[in-house]
Amino acid sequence: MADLTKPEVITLLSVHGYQISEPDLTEVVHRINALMDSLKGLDALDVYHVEPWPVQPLRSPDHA
Amino acid sequence: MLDEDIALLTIKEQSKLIKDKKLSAVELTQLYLKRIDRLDGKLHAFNNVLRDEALAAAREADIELAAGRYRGPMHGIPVAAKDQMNIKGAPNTGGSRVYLGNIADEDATIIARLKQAGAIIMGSLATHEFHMGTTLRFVKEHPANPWDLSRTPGGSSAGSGSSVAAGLVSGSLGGDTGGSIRGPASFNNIAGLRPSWSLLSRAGMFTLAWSMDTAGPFARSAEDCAIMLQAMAGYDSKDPTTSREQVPDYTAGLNGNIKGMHIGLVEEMLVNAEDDTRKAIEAAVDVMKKLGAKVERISMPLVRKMWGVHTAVVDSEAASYHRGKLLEGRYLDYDYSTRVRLMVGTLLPSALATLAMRARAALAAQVLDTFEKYDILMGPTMSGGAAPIPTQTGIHSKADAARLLHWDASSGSAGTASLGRNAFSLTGVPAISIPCGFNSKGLPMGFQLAARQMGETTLFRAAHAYQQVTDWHKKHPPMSWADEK
Repeated sequence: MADLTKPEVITLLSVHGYQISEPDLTEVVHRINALMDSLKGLDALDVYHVEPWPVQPLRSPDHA
Repeated sequence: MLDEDIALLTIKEQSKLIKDKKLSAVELTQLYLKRIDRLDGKLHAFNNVLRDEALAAAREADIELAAGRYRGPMHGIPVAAKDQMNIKGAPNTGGSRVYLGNIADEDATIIARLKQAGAIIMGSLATHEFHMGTTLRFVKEHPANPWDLSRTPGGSSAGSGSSVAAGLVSGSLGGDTGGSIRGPASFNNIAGLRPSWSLLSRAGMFTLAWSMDTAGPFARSAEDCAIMLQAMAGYDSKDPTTSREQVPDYTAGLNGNIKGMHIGLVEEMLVNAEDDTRKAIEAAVDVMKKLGAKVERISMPLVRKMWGVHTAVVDSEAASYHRGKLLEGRYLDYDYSTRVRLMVGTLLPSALATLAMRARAALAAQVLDTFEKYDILMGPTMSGGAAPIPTQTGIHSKADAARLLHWDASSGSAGTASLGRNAFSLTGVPAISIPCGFNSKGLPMGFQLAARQMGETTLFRAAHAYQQVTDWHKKHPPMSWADEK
């Protein structure tokens, strides 16, 4: 799958009103592409049936 | 007793001396202020020392005690807080140039509760910028580790860890989003607790990632962490996410008995552990077994996937939190490492961010299922000892960035955190790091214990029992550098 390029990152950030330059730009490009690859790896877990609640309800016997 | 011996006593021990009027709050506060003057020029643990305010509070504590009003085990005990928490009338910078000059107009709830319990607030402690844990340029000097000044005390609660280890305070407060309490605890050879998410109020604290942030105590023993937590825990109307559960007595069950306790050693948390760390963990397991616990090696495969998930959640929540300041044109006031991560969080597509949230929820279900069978989960806190103080992020390629995410452990890990550290943060369960030995370089190592949500009493029981029969936590940094020019 394709990586984001520097010009694409500049454009996407400009949508938010942000402008960045080097050396930040190079590192942002490396990081966002690595992070997206990492997250795409989660597809293999088949978690689409899991609702994305950040915190699970208490199941503690200490507080039953 | 020498000043150094008093400075390094536990809160429980100091508290008894104060209650018995063998040590006054003023004497203890003055002793720590002298040590701060002598040592902090090299440690850089404090961002701000509240000298006059601390002495005034100590005098008040002594007057109250003389009048027969004893507030409890925190009465007259000097503590300091991460520069993330509001202390009325004092600066709270969040460790950032963006908030230089920000003066708190009221106490954070946990600070107010500590004061109410009689604690003496000594000042604010150095932190990585907005608690991200990767800061290169601090608002003051880079904090140093008292065991080796060339090494980091860990982060993000850097000064919270080093100040307790060096005997500049009796205990401290830190904040933990992905391990920012447990990491510095391990690197400094002290105890550090990440409480259950929602147990402590976050009112009056800077946010990193709202769905994981929590404050927590650092101290020289697990029992001291329990004492500090007792003073702070419980519902707060200023923070609607705080639990309304009744707060139990955290020290009541600390009798050293863990016979029959069921502990799971999480295999995946050992994946990137150094040999010394593995040996220390194995030795800690033996201790737990001798105490009567039943320890089994268990597998939680999702743990290996969580670094990327954690980064996605933290960076995207942080990008939203800081959007206002970024739009004000403050981008370059942020540290390089922080601002780069805020841009990454801004760029992350919502479909992938939600996928990360789904994986997080799946992990939480796996963790909670595991706690149906096990009382405690166990693993290393960090992969090894403290690393040298960094001067750059070290990311020159996508592969460098990928290694930091631990997304494929078989390709090697550039980080030092245990894989399980942020898994516990993501699931909101409490976890404590306590010392378990030293590596071949003489640097401290720690292991972490986690319990089910709101299971702090079980957690303290296990950690305290271990510390009753080991003395790793009684070893303090020699600090031969203290009087070197």
